[in-house]
Amino acid sequence: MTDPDRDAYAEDVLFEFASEPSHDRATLERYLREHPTLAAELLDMSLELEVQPEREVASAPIDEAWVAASWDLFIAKTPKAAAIDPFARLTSPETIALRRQLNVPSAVIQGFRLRMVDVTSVPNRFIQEMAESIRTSVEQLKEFLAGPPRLDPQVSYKSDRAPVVETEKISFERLLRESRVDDDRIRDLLSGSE
Amino acid sequence: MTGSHPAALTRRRRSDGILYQRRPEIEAALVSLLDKTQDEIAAALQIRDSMSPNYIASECIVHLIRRTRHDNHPAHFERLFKELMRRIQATLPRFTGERLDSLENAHAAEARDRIQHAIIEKILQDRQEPGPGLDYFEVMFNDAVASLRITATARARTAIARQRPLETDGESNEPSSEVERALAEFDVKDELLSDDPIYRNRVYMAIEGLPEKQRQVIALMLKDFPLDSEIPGVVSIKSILGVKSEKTVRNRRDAAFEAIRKALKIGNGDD
Repeated sequence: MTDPDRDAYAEDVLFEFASEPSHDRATLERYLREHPTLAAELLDMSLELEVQPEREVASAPIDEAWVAASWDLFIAKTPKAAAIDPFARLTSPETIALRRQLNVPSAVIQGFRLRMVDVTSVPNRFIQEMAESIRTSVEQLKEFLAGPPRLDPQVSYKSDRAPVVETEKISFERLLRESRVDDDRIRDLLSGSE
Repeated sequence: MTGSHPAALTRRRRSDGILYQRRPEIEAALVSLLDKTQDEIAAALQIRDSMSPNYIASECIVHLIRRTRHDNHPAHFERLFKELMRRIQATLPRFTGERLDSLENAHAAEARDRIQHAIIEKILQDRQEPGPGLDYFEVMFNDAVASLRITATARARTAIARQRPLETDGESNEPSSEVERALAEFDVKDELLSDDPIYRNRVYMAIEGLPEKQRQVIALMLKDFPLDSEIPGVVSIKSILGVKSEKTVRNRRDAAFEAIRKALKIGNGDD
């Protein structure tokens, strides 16, 4: 039996044992007899079933670092499909609301939508606010923004020559300046204070 | 969105053919949860008191995670996922104090990481191609986590055992006669009869922190198996553990009792 097969078999037997109405000596004895190769696991489960209710009573602080590490691991293991475009589902009123919420001109939003901005130059606070406003996670938004600049998917191009997409990304500061955001606001946005 | 209903669990069967089902209270909670908005669910996930009427049972969190498979709300999924990991963590054994650096604690830490990987694999698999991998977690969450943890721990233990020389058996670690007299008056089952839940929890933590061979003897004693038996048909701790003599069983029991007494600071003058 390979390790994964054995794990699946062990999990099935342990769960079935746990779901028995009684975990007395006779039940444990029966399982030990029927599954001799899982004796160590069954003894641990027998003990676990005694401890479980007690452990639930005793609360302990949660290790949030482990929770965050678990999320990072999940993201790292998730097969990389094309990054989801979190802007695609936004309606026009929602886009306007986003602009107002972040207090920036629409050209700045457009810079993000077209992935022209270098995500590493954007303060986390701004990314976080944007992610919340468009109902996505910080990680998903960053993953999307890490992709190459693109043409506006909502505009059709009518020209003899194929439209050219920018290949160089620009910094957040440059995007703000080119979008004519005033100096005070730029300073606030870059420092992460609102 | 009203009248939504959770899909039935129909794939996992007991060995006697009976299908595993969600408990009725979980079914009822899901029917009500499926009518709630994501914001309402996010608010309910903040509730830590399991007695609160709005507390979301862990089984329901697993179901909600499975339902996010096709929707495009990563923030909602992230909240559910992180709460799931908190719930898993709360069910895992914790070792503190002097056992922090022990081998058993290293096993516990490795098991925690293994369960982290195992549950992530199960969720990824379920998202790619829905299967029965998470069904147990909707039936009885704590038992499903325990099954996964114990399986993972056993794998970790086997891996470590392969790298270590064979241990000498309990025969050589006989307690002194003085300790033996003190141990004769100690019974772990008596300690577990305490009315104080915090004290009982300390006893269980001490048992969980024991080396495997000693812990197995205690697990069997708690189920009233005799140390040894000459009566045909009566299964004893000696026969289950496959050791040669009753003395080995007694030595392991005494070493376990001594470790538990120390952990509880009973009769050793340092409390």
